[in-house]
Amino acid sequence: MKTPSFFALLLPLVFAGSAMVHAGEAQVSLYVVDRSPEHAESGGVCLPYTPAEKAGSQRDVLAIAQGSAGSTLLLIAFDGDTLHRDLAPVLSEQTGDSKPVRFPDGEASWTHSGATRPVELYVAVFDNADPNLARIAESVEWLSEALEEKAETEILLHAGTVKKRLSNLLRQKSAAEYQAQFGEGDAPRVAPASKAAVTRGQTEGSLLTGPDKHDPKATVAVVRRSLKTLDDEWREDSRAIAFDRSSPGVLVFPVTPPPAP
Amino acid sequence: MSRVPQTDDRDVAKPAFDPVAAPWFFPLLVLAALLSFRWFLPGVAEKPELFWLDLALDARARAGWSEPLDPEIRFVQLSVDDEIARRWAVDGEYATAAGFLKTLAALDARVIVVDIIYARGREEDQRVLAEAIREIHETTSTRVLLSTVIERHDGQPYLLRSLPRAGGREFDEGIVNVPADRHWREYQFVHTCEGETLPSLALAAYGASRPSALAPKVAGGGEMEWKALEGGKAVTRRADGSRVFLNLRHSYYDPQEYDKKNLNLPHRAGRVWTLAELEQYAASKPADSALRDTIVFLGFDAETDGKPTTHGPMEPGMYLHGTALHDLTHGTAIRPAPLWLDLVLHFAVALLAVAAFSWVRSIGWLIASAAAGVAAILGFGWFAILTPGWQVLPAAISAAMLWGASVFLEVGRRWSFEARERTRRDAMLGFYFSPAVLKQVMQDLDMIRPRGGEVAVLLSDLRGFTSLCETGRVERVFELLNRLFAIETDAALRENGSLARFAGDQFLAYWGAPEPCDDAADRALRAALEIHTALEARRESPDADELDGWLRIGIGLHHGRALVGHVGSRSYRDYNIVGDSVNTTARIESQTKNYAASILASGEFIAALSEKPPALLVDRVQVKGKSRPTELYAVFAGGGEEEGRRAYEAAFRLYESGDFATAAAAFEALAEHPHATLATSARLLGERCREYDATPPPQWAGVHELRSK
Repeated sequence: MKTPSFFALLLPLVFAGSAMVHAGEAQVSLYVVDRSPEHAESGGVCLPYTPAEKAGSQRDVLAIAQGSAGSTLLLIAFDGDTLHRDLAPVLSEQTGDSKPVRFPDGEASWTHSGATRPVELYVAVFDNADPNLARIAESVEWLSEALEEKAETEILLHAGTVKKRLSNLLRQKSAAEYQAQFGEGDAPRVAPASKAAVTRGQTEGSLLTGPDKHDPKATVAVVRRSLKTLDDEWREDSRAIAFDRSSPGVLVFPVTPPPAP
Repeated sequence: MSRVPQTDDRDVAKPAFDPVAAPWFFPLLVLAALLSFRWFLPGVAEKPELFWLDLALDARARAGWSEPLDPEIRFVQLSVDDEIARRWAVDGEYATAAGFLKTLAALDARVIVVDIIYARGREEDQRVLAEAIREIHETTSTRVLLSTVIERHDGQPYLLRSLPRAGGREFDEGIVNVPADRHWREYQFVHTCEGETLPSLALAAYGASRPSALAPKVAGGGEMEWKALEGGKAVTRRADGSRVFLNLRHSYYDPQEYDKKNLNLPHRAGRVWTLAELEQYAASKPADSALRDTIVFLGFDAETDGKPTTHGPMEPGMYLHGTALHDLTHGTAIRPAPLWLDLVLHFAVALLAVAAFSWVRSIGWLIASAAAGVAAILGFGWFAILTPGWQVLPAAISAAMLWGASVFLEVGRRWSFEARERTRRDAMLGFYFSPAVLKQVMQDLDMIRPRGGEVAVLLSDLRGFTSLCETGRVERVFELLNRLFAIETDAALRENGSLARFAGDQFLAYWGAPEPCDDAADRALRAALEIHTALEARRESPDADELDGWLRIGIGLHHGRALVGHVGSRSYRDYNIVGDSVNTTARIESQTKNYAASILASGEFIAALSEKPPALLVDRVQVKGKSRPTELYAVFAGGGEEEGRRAYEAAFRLYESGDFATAAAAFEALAEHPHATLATSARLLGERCREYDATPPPQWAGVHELRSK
C-alpha cells in the first residue's frame, strides 16, 4: 500500500480518536462574596477572585462550577495538608439537568480572612468511567463521614489522602500548568475558550490557549454580580477544565493572603 | 556342605539405630542443623538468604516488575565539583546550603530532607542557615528536616545534631544512621541515644510531610507511634529499633529510563536532580513547579556518601532514606516471615523430603523431584518479592537449602546403603557364582529363584582321602583340601561356572544355571581339563611337596536336567543344585578309579559338547538306582593313544555283540597297555567277558549292571 493512501485511511481514525479523548469540559468560577450590610438587598455582591481582593469577616470565598454530563466534580480546599476550616468537600455527579455546584456547600461559608499562607482550592473533574474517580471518591466519602462525626484524626488522615491523590494526578500528567494564575492581564471574564490553558490536560492544537497569551485588552476593569443572579451569570467569569476518560482535569486556585494595605 | 547365614531381617539382630537405612534421618538432621544455625548463629544463616534476596530484588527491578518509588519522593544530589567548591570558598558552605533550601522552597517542595549534617561550622555560618530555614517555615508551606547522627566517643554514643550553635533543636530532625557493614540494605526506623527516642530520617520525613497532629510520637519503650488509615479507619502504627530490610526497588542504575517509564515527568530532570538542573529550572520561574508537593532529599552524591546496595556498587545514602520512606508510607518494608511461618515452612519441606525419599526409588527421579521442589520453593519466595506483607524469600531460601542438602545426603545415603547391600549380597552369592554370573544375578535377582534347566555338572573327589584322614594330621588334611579346592574353584570360575558345595573332599560345580548357557558342557570340560592339568603340573613340579603327591582326583562329568535354587531352613540356606544329574555325576565320578580315568564323562555330556575331545567309550553300565544305561567315556586329556583306543573300541564292539570269548581275548591283549586307563579298563572288561562267557547274562543288551554305587 502506498504511503499517502495509508495515511488517508488513517485520517478518520485520528478524528475519531480525538473525539474520544476530549470527553468533556467543566467550568469553574471563583468569587469573593461581599456580604456587608450595604449589599444586603442583593444578598451579597460577587467579585471575581483576584489576589488583590481584600479580606474581611464579611467577605466569603465562593466557587461555582458545572461539568458536562457524565462527569463528576470535586471541590475541596486545603490549608497546607489539612482541610481548610473543615469545609466539607463537594463531590457531585453531573447530569444533563444538574444545577451548578457551589463550594462551600449548604450553610457552610469560607470567610476570606487574610490567612498567612495560601489556601488552595482544588477543582477536579472526572469522567464517570475514570478509574481514578472511584479511588478518590472513596476517600472523599470517608472524609465527609469523618467530618460529620467530627473525628479529628480521621479528618486529617483522609484529607491527607485526598490531597495526595490529587497531587499524584497532577504529577502524572504531562501538562505543566495546572495552577490558576491571577496575574496581570489575566481576566476573570475572558471568554471560556481562552482560559483552559490554565488547566492541566490541555493538548497541543487545542483551541484553548494559555493565560499568558490573553489579550490584555480583552479584560474588563471591574465586574460585580449579584449573588441572587449568580447562577445565570457565573459562566461569563469561568475557566474551563478539560478532561477525558482516562485523564481527569484538575485546576488549583491559590487563595492567597491579600497584600498589605 | 557350605552354609551361609540367610539374610532374613527378622532373624538378624538389628543395631539400635542405623542412619544409613532410614530415609527420614538426613532431612531431619539438616532441618535441625538449619534451625540451630538460625537460632544460635543467625549471621551465618542470614548471609546466603540475603545474597538471594539481593539477587531477587535486583532481578525484579531489572525486569521492570518493581513497584515504582512513590513519585512524591525526589532527590537533589550535591556533587562537590569545582562550582560548589568555588561557592563554598566565596559564600561559605552553610550559606550555599541556605540558597539551595530557598530554591527548593520556591519550587513548592513540601518537605526538604537535608541528608547532610551541618554541625561543625562556625556559629555565624550556622545562624545563616538557621535563619534561612526559619524564613522558609514562616513564609512557605515547605518544611525543612535536618539530620542528626549518632556518633561514638570513647565507645560512648552521643548525638551530633545539625546547627547546634544556632538553635537547631527547634527544627525537626531525623537520625541518619543506617545499620550496614559493607552493604546498604537494612534500616532502622527508630533509634535510641542519650535517653532519647528519635525517628530515623525516613520516619521524620514521613512525620514532616503530615500535619503535626499526625506526626509520629514517642510511645515509650523505644517505640514511636502514629496514626494511619486502614479500611477508612484510623489505626495506630508503631515502629521500634528492630531492623528491617529495605525493599529496594528504584532502578538507579539507569535513572533516565526508569524515570521515563515510571514517572512520566515533563521535565528534563527525573527523580534525581543535580543542583545545576535545579537552579536552572528555578531560574526559569515555572508557573507550576515540578517539585510541588514533593519530599525532596538533599544529599551528597555517591562519591562522597555512597556504599554498595542491591542495585549498584556505589549509591548515595539518601536513596536508602528515600526507599525507607516509601516502605514506611506503603508498608512495603521487608520483614522476615514470622517465626511460626518459618518453622511451618521448614517442617513442611522436611516432611516432603522424607516422603519423596521414601517413595521415589530412582535417584534420577529423586534429583528431578528435588530440583522441581527447590525451584517451586524459590519461585514461591521470589513471587513473594512482588507482593507486600511477609517476606518469605529468606525462609524459602533456607527451605530450599534444606531440601537440596537433604537430597545430596540422601543420594550419598543410598549409595552407601546400596553398596552395603551389594556387599552383603555379593558376600552371600559370591560363594556360588563366578563374577560374570554374579553380575548377571545382580542385574536380575529373579534369576536365583528356584528353577529347572539343562546343566553340565562337574564333580571331583580326592583319591585316598579316607586313608589320609585316618593317618594324616588334621592341619595337613585341610591344607591339602584348600590347595585342591583353590585350583578347582579357580578353574570353574574361570569358565563362569557356579559352585554348589565343598563336601569333604568333594567339589561340585555346574554350568547352565541360574543363567542358561549354550556351551555349558564345553565349559565344564575345559574346567575339568584345566584342573587335571594343574594338578598334574603341581604333582610333577620340582617344588612339589608331600601333599602335592596326594593331589589325585577323579572327575565325573554329566549333562542333564537339574534343579537350582535356595534350599534349607530359615536358619540356614544354601543355593544349591539337586536332581538326577547330580546323582548320576556322583555315580560316574565313583567309577573313575575302576577305570583308572582321571575324567569320566557320560554319553549325554559327550553329546552336548560342540567339539568332541579325545575320548574313549570305556563301558556302558546301568548304575544302581537308575533305569537307563549310562555310557562312560574316559577323556584323554593329552590326546594320543589312538591305536590303543581303536583296539579297545574293537574289543568293546565284540563285547557289545555278546562275543565274550573273542572280546575277552581282545581286552586281555590291552591289559598291559602303558596307558593306565586303557590297561585298567581292558582288564576290567576282560574279566567281565570271561565271566559272561562262563555264565552268559539272560538278556544281553550290551549294558553291564553295577551292583554297588
